[in-house]
Amino acid sequence: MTTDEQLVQDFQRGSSEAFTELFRRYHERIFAFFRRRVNDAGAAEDLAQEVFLGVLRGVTRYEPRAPFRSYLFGVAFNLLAAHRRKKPPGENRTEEIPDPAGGGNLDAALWMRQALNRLEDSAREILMLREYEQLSYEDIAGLLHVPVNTVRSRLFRARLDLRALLAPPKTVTSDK
Amino acid sequence: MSSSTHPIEQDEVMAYFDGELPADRASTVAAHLEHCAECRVLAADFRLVSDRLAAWQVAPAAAALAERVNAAAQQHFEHGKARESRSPKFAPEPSSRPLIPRWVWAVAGTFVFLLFVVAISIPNLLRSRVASNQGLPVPRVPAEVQVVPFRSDRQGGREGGGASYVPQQPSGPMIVRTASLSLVSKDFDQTRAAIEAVVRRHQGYTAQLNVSGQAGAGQSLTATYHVSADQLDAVLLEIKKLGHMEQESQASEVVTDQYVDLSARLANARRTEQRLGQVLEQRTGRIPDVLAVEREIARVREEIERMEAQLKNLDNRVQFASLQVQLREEYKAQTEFAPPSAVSRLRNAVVDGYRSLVESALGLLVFLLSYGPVLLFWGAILYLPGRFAWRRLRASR
Repeated sequence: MTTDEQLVQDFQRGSSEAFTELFRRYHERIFAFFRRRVNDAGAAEDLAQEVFLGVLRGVTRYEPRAPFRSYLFGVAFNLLAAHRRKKPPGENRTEEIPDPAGGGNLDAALWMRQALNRLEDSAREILMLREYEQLSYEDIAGLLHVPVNTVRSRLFRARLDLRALLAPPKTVTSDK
Repeated sequence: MSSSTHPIEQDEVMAYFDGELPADRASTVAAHLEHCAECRVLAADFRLVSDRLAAWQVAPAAAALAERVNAAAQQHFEHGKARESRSPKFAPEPSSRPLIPRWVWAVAGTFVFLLFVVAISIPNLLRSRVASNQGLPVPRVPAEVQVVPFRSDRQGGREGGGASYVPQQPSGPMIVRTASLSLVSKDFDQTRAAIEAVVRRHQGYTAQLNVSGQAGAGQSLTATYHVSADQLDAVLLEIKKLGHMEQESQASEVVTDQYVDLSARLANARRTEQRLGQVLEQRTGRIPDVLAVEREIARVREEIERMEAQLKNLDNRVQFASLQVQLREEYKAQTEFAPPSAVSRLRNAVVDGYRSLVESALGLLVFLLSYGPVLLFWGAILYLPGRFAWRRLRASR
């Protein structure tokens, strides 16, 4: 199987098929990245589109020192930050209703989203980048401009907090 | 979690779960997990959290996304092929956003152009003004206007309407005599009056006089007298009798060559002046030429007058010898003196202290007025960039 980096090199040489394959591999993940962080599905699609258009325009700036995945999510992260800066202050960006066609339990998804909302912003972002985008500690540190040890400690704390938040509530039964 | 039972940290369990540990450390954690139920529970919790997170699924993207991106990609590659045919392969694409905005380049280019135009136009304007002056013709004087011949009006009786000017030759050596005397006298005023009487009697005059009398010392006089050169010896003889002579000196300077040279130069200058006058009379040139001749005549005239004054001065110096006299009164010391009082000294100290305070305050105010605006200006300019840089630095930490 051709690696992402080989595809990028082919793409840099002008191969449209290489770009198509890269798009096929990542467009759902990029869309999901935005969909979990942006209220509007249309806005998430626009941002995902902008990521790939940005790759089309600026692929010459990519250097194979880092995985293409890290480069791609770096572009997405920057676009997300720019999108958030345009939002009016005070608007809760995670107050969205997840799509019911997610293939999972809606209640569980809703519960998970509410639990994530209760985490600190930076801890939540690190956890989501790790769990959903599958980025390494080092990639996350580069994206957020924090040391790797900070990523590790915050991720650890976020998982423990989420574990506590996801613990089933105590139910009180009464005899009728 | 004590280090004796748990040689690893809890976050290492998490990192092992994430596959982020180095190989040697990962093997250590794996070996520990086989024997530690507590850590196995922790790892299971991490796995559970990840499974619960996976429950949040997102619907797939609409097909329109893929259509739009593919259309843009197709357009990009078609445009890239067209550009390839014109430019070398693998040429980097131009950045969509220039590093420096285009309007900055436009303003800078306009400024440089204007500077260039000003730099080359100013010398050209100056040259054209001078050239236009040189090109003006001078109308000839009408025949009915009577031309008055030029004549120098100060020629010391040597004018001859075209006659040559002969330099003066002295009849004998020209000597300038000088002398100096220092006297001490008991009666200062009387001696001073006697000296002045002697000078007047021998057709002399006082050129300079300075009298001083300081506390704790007698009066003193320093004077320069000019007396007729042939009377100098008689004057010295009489003045020496008026007090106790401390010092006497005489000197003679022969200035014959200097006089002859000056006289010859003066004669030449006069002849030059006459010739220039004739040039001005006979020729009708352009205005710049006429002005140049007149300027030269004025310069020569100035030289003539200067040399005449020098000659006259030499004549005077030869005719009148210079005698410098220093007269000192014999000092009688006072037995009592009055030192400054304590009150005066204290008052002076208070005044000095006040002056120092005012000077230092004024100095500070002058400094603030001189450098304050400059410091405020640069502080205002550098404040925002400095603040921005500081914030970036803090964010990166």
